[in-house]
Amino acid sequence: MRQTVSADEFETAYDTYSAAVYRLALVYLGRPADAEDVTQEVFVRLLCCAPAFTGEDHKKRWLLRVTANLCRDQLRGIWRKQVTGLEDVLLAAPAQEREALDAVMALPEQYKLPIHLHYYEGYSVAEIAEILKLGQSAVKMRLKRGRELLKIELEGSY
Amino acid sequence: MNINDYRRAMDRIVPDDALKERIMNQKNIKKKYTPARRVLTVALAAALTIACLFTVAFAASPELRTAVLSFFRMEEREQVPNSSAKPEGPDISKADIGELVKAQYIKMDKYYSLSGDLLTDLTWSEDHRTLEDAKFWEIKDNELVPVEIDLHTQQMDVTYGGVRYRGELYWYIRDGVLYPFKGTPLGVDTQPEDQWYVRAFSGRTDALLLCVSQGRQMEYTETSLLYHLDTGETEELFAGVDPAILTDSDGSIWSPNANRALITGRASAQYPNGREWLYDRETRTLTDVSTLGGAGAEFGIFVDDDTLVLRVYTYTPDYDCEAVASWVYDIPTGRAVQTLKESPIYNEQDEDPYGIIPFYGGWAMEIGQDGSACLINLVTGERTVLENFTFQKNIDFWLNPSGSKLLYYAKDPETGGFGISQLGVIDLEEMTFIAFDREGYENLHEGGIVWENDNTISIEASSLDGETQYLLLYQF
Repeated sequence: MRQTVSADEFETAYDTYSAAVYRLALVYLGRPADAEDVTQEVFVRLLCCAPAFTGEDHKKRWLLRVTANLCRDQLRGIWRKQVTGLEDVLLAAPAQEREALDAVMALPEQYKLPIHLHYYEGYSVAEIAEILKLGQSAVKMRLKRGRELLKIELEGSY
Repeated sequence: MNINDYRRAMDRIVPDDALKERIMNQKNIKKKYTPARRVLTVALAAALTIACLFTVAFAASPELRTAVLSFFRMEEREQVPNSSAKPEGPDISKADIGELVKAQYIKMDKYYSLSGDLLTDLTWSEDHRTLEDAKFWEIKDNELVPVEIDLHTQQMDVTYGGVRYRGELYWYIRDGVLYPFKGTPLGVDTQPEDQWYVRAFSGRTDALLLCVSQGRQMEYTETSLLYHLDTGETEELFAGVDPAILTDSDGSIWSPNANRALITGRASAQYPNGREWLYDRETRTLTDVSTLGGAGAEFGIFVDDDTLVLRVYTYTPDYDCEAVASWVYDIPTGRAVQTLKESPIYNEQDEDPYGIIPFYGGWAMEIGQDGSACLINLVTGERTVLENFTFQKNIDFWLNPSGSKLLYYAKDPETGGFGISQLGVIDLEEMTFIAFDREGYENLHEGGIVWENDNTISIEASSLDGETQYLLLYQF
């Protein structure tokens, strides 16, 4: 069942979740302009197509799932340049933070999304599987391989 | 530099304020939207009506009668270890849980991995390319016994697709099994020559699977070569395959005997979920998986050397996966039999979720609206009701590598990590389902659970202060 989202609810949802949506899109797409486009589309879909949410967790997972799907869709349809850095968005950040961000961003797409959702958003394997529409074994494998590929210290950071 | 640097960097990233205004302006545009779920529900209702007719027919047939498997909850409880005293090296203790489960707790000063049945400590050079030290322990009942391993090394140097792949390759052979590995220099200083990894291949000890890749993100492509350890030479595994398919592939999945492979194609505008091809090494034939048996499948899964389970998913316009159907496909004869009619897929986000949970392999589970659970063998279509068991949202199942056992665990949502409050296994050959309750799990941060092999489950954990690591091993 779909629900109607009022202007106030929409604004609250945007204020609460837009950063998470934007960050995931940025990790996925690498370019701030593309991430903004996807963020915009995600919240337009919240207005037109949102299911009846069972709670805030549900709403956030739905937004992130739609974000991942739209990013994937965007990447499929267009020719893209390689993206190597995030200078535009992190000019003032300390070097080690920029390096850490670059390290995650440099991972292949199939690894960096699970890594971001697990280590930044704090989702479990089952929740990531739900968001990315993957089997749990695939998520576990991608987290494992992502950790192997990532040259930053992750041990003890679960 | 650690993951907290990543978190701090991410915290700094927020969308531009103007974006909100843009969206608030755009949201006034009215869009006509037809709920896809309603349309599909009509179709599903029709399908289910037909399915019900078949179910009646199945019920009348003795060999297709639904079987029953009783859930056995053990009286014995596990006392999860939680000492935070940091050991100087790995240390092991053993605990039997009742007479049915053997548990071993490995306490560690840092995280050690398992390779085969050996606890492994590998020390890499700063650039993660060269192995500087390697220690191995055999895991006995209550003892970690250091073992000497004849570790081989070779400078791998292969050119494929115009890219020269190089690096140190390491392997050892134990009990007739090859364990290959390499460093992991990929990351901030990734070089094209680093983009390769290795795997054992079909029980061979003289050669291994070398997977070489190019590109990043959606441009990622990967192909597999057979690498001969004695000569350092490679052999094409996909002879006769259209090069355009290989250059657009992001990987391959091999049958157990490696005579066949599923080549996975990248997603495209025409094929938004990607494509798959079945390749037969003997006949050098390539078949689009969507054409197999007329099922229109999205992808296949090897359940043995000659059998695929084919899956078809149905999506809503907002990309929610809403229904699944499954066929079993006999590769030699080309015969496909539908073993699961199109059925709603279980969606945990629904208020009262119900439907099918497909596992990666030859099994699925159907959850009823009342929490009842029924195992479905996707090869035979046989159904087995789980008696005395109620499925809940915090429960997960996971097939082992050979598909003979199903891990079961219940998570405590109040804990920060997995917080596994109950652990068990369904033995799909013996048709038994046992589980035990765990006490003290909340004193550890449980970060992961995995099948280490067909019989051993491991839980990765750390003390709450992060000082001590644990590897908890279970055999049912």
